[in-house]
Amino acid sequence: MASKLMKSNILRSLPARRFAAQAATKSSDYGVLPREPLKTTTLPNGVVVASIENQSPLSRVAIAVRGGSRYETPDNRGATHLLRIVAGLTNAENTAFGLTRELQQLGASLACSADREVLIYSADATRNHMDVVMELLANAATRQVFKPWEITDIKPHLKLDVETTPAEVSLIEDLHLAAFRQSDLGNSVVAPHHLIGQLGPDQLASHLSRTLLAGRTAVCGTGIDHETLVEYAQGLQLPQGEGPAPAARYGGGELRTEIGGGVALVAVAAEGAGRSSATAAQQAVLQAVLGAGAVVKYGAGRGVLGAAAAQAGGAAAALNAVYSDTGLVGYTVAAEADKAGQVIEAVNKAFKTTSLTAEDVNRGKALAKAAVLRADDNSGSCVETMGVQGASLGKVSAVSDALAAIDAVKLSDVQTLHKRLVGGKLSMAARGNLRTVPYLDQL
Amino acid sequence: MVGEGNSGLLSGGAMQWLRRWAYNASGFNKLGLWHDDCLYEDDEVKEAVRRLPERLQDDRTFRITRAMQLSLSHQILPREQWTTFDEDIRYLKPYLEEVRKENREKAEWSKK
Repeated sequence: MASKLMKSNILRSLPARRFAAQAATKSSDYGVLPREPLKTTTLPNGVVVASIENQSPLSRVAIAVRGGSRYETPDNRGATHLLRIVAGLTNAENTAFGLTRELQQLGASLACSADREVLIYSADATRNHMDVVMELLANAATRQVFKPWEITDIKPHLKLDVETTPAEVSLIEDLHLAAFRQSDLGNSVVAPHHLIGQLGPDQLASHLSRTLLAGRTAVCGTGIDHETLVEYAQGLQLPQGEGPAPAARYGGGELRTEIGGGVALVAVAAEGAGRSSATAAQQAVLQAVLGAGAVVKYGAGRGVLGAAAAQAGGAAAALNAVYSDTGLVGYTVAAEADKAGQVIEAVNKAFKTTSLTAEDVNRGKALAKAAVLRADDNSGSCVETMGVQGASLGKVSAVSDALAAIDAVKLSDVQTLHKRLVGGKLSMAARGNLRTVPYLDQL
Repeated sequence: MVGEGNSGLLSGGAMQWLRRWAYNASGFNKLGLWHDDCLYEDDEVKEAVRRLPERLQDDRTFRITRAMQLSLSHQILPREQWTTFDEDIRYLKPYLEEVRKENREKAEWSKK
């Protein structure tokens, strides 16, 4: 009898019930949030609005504009770099001081990032403060005024940024310049050193007036419901217009920068397909097969190229830079100066002559899908991806579409793509101690 | 203090006459100076002058230097070169107001 009593639910559940009741009094401030998958709307003025309600306690909103460095003119080269740096200075509604203190008070953050195609202003905050923060974001992005004295005061930051550009970044910039020459994609995201002096309010204003237009803007968010975001986007004051069109011309060539040191960094690439092309997914799979970095810290690079490089005593990874109309597919190599020649030979041989098997392609597909899902899992990179797609293509596709596209890739597709790439005209950039690094025509 | 017009006791026309008379009686126009050149340079005025476009700063520097030279040689400009009431523009006013607004904002925030 006693044992039966011990097993009785009532006796055991009483203390448990008390603790549960204690915890239950502190319920969520928001009730139960509905979960929304990716929803997109295109407003009549051309702004693309995309949102995912992922029940996150943090909301993130970004205003992405198709106004990256490729749309700079020869007169305002370096404007996007300076725009990144002056984001958050005095605008039409807030002073720099006021904006900073307001954001700090709310525990929010505001950031600006840019690449060749897209300029993104993003802000995040807890949900209860998000409406104020979105207001501040709109001011910072769309109502910028450039006070000459503030620009002058912040120029040393620009100079520091340019002079401390890491070698790997410079390498990729050189590769784009070699590949696309002086046409739009050859414009670097880093301001040219000799043009820092002439960058000022006029250059920034001219860049924004050409590119900050309704038809080139996307407003994206996570942790926010779609109606709120649409209403917000409708309230943004953006002028109408077409703006500059992409005009990349792939030329091919090489750029060598001898700066000595113990290491040689080399990048080689061929022209690839654009973001909306049918072969974009195949390129992603090819990149994963060839090897895109290590999964294990300090591990040797994986994939075909990584293995070839590790055997020769260096490191290599596949490169896949995708833009709306074109791209670059190839590899980057890092090696000690003495061994660089052998490593590049080995990697190049692997790049050109590797025969891909079904197992390789399956591995590539799994890796590519994991990369897509990983980016989607992180709300910061998720918003960035939506912004880049919305601003550069005018539409945002769901992760499931990307996964389906990767699943549909066949071995023959990847083999055809690979053959076409290695047969095309290559571009090369090299930086560091280049005494053993071969020239492009010697590869 | 030749300030902006709040009519107060006098009508518009009379107020203008009084302002002109006070301006000419002040005498700084005889040294070729403008009203904003004569402001005492406290921190706010210094910051506002720093923000002036280069051309306005150079003009201000020139006028002040010329006035100092005249002062030390106990001279004034010939009558044709005196600054007139109408050409005296309050060039520093917008910059000074912005500086003062910013300082007020900082004071507000530091109270919190």
